[in-house]
Amino acid sequence: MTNRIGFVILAVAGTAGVRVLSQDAPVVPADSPPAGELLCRLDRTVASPGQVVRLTGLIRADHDATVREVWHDAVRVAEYDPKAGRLKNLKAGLFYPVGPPGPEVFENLPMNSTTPGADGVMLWDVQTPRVKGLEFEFKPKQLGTFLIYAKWEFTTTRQQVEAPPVLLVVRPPMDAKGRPVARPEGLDKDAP
Amino acid sequence: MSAESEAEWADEWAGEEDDPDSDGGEGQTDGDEDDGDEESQPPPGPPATPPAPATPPTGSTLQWSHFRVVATPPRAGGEDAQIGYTRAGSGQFTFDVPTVLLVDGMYYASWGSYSAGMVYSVRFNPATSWVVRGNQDAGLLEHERLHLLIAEYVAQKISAKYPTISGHGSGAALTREEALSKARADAAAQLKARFDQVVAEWARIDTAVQTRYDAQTMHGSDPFNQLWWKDDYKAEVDKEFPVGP
Repeated sequence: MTNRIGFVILAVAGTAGVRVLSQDAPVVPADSPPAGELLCRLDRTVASPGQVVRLTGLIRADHDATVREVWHDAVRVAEYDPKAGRLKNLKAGLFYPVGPPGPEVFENLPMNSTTPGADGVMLWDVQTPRVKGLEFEFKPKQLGTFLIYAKWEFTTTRQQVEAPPVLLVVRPPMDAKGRPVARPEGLDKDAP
Repeated sequence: MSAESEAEWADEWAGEEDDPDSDGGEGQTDGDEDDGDEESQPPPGPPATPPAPATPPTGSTLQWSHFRVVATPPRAGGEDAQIGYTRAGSGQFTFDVPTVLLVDGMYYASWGSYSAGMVYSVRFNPATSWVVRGNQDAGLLEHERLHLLIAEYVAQKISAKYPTISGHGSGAALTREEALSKARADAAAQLKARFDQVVAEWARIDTAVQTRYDAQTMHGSDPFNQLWWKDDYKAEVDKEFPVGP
């Protein structure tokens, strides 16, 4: 019975495109971009308004592609509650998009960065034997927790790849006693 | 909030934390910090991005000094220069006063949202603009400038076509607060979806005209067609915005 269950699990994994490796096979860390896919990282997951955050998008170095266009989007999944002095998670059905996105939420994170025509090429900011990628430094301006999405369009083929979202928590700085120092500017002024 | 007070606020907060990672740089960087586990011998970094000028150049003021200089084209057989820019849309984002009905113990909320005075704009991006060393001639600069002028004009046309966008949300729940929250999330999602539609149209038109421009001028190497486009680029863009039924 146990063997039969194991067989079924392997069969399902096979149909899902998952390779089952032997124990001796080399393993690349899961935070490396899979073949043909885009993976994003933040250099920090918690920041205060005004702090510089770096978003790095990476593809494998052997992926024969260049980028002509980049899109960024964000969804708010927690709001700052000024009365409670803390971030309050939203229920999953109540997440809402940041937008229309503008510098009032993330300064210098472009909604869209493009090159004209179909054959534009962006220079890589990161190039290593394993990965190549683009970096964007920006400053969060509002308090909250955000899922940040990135999408790239490749040159010529116009193929689009979308990265799994990365999470950024924007909290107020704290005073010496650990109490949040929230200022009205950091609240979502567009929230009803 | 004024831009000045915004800057003071950000600077003050940024200054409160002694964080060596926060170098305060703008735009894209040289990328040699995040990949320590990826390599043993880092290759030479990409060319530095010129410092962002206080006022970004426009199609009329763009100079070669605003571009990154590279030794070879980043793609084999590619062009000698390329301009890049960012697109953004901004406006006054407002929620209407919501309405809530209580029917048979269920709350039904309705909430409208709109963004008026929408301005769609492009901004030269020094991080994605480059020229191959030795190719900084006046003719090629003229070609790249016209790319930006076309992009600026398309953005103006989109701003005129879609000055206001709106969305309407609704939500039902057993509590008033949750019904309102659902309606708000729905309204924000509807507004964003409308915004995305406009931006998609904007990008499609811009890319179509820019591709035509590159093809007809052979990326600037056809001086006759380059001159023709310089005089008539607005008419070419206007073709993408038909008037009337």
